[in-house]
Amino acid sequence: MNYSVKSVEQDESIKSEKLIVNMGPQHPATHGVLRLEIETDSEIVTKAIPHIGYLHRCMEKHCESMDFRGVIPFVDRLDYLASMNMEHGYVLAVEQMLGLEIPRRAEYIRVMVAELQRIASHLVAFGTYGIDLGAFTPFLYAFQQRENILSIFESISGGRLLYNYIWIGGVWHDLKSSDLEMISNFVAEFEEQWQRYDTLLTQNKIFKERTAHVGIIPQALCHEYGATGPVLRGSGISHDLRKDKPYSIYSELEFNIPVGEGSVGSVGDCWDRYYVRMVEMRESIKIIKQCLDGIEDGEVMAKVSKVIKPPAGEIYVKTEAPKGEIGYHLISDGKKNPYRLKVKSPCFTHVSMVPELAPGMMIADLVALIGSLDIVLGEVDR
Amino acid sequence: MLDKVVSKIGEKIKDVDCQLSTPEVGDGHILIGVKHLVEVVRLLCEDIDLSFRTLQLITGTDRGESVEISYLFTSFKFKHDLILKIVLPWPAEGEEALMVPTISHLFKAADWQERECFDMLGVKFKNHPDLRRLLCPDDWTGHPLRRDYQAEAKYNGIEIYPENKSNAEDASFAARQREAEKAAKAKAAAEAAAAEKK
Repeated sequence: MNYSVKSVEQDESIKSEKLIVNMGPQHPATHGVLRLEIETDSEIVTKAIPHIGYLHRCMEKHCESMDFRGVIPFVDRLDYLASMNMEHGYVLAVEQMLGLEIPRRAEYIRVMVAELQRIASHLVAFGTYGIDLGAFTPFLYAFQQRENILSIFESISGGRLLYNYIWIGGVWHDLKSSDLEMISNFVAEFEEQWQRYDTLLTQNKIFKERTAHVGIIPQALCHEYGATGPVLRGSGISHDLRKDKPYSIYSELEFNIPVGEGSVGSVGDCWDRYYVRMVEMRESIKIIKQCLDGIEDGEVMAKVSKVIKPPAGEIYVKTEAPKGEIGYHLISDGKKNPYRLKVKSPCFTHVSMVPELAPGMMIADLVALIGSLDIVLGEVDR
Repeated sequence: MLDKVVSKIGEKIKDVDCQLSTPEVGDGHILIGVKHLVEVVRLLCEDIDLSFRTLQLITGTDRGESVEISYLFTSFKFKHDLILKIVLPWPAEGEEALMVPTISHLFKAADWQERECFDMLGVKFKNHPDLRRLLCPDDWTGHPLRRDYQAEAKYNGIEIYPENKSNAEDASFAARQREAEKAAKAKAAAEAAAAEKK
């Protein structure tokens, strides 16, 4: 009997052929309704074309027929995992147009809820990234803590996901003493939980194998595409609007900006982006602690006229949201509704980088890359 | 900062049509002629003193008579932003579609931003490598962010606003509300007129 196996090159009946695979729109690893049309050569991706727009609601058009206060619930629905940060940016844009002075207590509350929301958003990123790579347990632990944050938000605003809490001129309601207690309890026990997450995923051997040296984004590419947030910082560029162009009361607070250092793989790989988010959660806790200590008594709402009519002109305001810089380009013509509101979405930028990064990757690595970009399609499609 | 950029542009590019606007409220911008767009953008990107290496977004605005396209650049080095604008009249009926030179060869970010602008406003970008719709489906008709946009009644045989799915109570409430407002306005006007007569 002849057991010798013919080598692949000898067998002419076997040949490789490009295969086109649709990843999504209903795919757990695309984090929403993103469709990636990928051309594969065996298991290697040779081309990836993202198709977006499945969640397009033309929110920018709707905003043109809303008054300035009415837009707030719409911006909530952009990045529905970080609604507070979305509101914060938009409200700042309108306030700067009006030249409003915000009460100090309101500023403290805003920063506190924004940082809590950042932790909640990063927890989802952390948990779902585990799922993408085959680890289910971290997700459950992450959602346990996220639940605590959502309970705090429910207590202060009535909503669990979409809040309409940060208003033009301040915030809707003052924090009750029980709310402050809830926040300080959460802060006190978070560090212990963080350590748990860290042992579950960060130094896990399989996780490191899947993410280190994978999906490296060079610094030059970040600038060319205009990447921001943890993606930019993961590539080793220390840029954070809370430090570089401080808004609200961030200039008075002390915190560090984590950047990717390539401590497991190379700078700018998936692990770096993941770890930047992890460290950012701790920094947010630092900020919340300082806010809890420093919060002042007083009003939470400035005096705002009943009908808001910013003077004709335009403004571009950007703030640091969990996924990157969210920018609002607001054009007003002096009437009671915005003439044009264009949203600069960080996730939109990050999805547009995929065709550049994907060629040459394994299909499984593409999943790791998209997970590490942490995209939310509500914000991409608007 | 803006006047520095304007003087630099005037210095480097001949016969450039460049206007600076610094309003009291909000951000200022630089308005340039379409002819020199690519040259100016290349200067902004490559000049060491300016170094606007990142394009943040492209906003297209329908101003009724004309269309206004704002380019937003950021310099990470000097940590400042710049709004660059071009204004073009809409083409008259029968004329060819509006053409703006692309800057996607200078900024990779411009690729998708220009596609979005084309999708939403119908502004075509000359020499763009892949000018397809981005957010709307490929077979969609019309450009939603135009002021005169009317949504089609049907898309691929599917009714867009089916009557059985609209909230009749809501609609009638809104109609009543509008009528009440109109009546109140008419009443106020009549009263004012009567007061004037007296």
